[in-house]
Amino acid sequence: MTASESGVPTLGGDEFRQQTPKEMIFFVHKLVEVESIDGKIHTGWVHTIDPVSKSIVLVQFSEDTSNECTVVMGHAVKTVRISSDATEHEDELERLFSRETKITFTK
Amino acid sequence: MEEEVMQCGEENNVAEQQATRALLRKRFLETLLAMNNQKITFSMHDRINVTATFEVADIDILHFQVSNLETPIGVQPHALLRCSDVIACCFKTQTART
Repeated sequence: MTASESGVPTLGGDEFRQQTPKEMIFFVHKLVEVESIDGKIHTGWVHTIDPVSKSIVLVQFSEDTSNECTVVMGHAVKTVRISSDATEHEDELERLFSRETKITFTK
Repeated sequence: MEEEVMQCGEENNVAEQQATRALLRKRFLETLLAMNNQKITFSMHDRINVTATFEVADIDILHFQVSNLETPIGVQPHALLRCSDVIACCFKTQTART
């Protein structure tokens, strides 16, 4: 992890993809800026990072109840930077996709 | 004795890593379930954006199966997208008010 000028850690794509699950969960609930390989910056609150594909699920909350969810594919991540350590949307993120009903998966 | 303690520590660490991995994966699978039957905008290479209705993804997230794929050359009723060609996908979701 390298510290940028502002003291906020910025991770390169390869460095990010090599993170262990415990390092990945550090990003969850935080506001991050993800630069993809096409140069686009995706900003949002991290809902989760898939440990298999390393895809990042970002949520942007709006004033009303509609939110925008962006999944940046793991292979397309160029840099990841934490914008804010605040976890103010933690409850909403927890509720967002959680399912009460039990789903049975077949083998 | 020291070796035993170290082994125990390592096992705990592995168990913790696995539990964290399972939590992250579960949350991702819940996201995929939420994406089901939603209209998704896929950002592909060369600044191409296509929209489609999301159906399923495979276990390794290598392919997405979509329907009504709106491409610049027409609408495909069913299609399989290679995830390596997709940079990001975006969809709208509602916050459940309690």
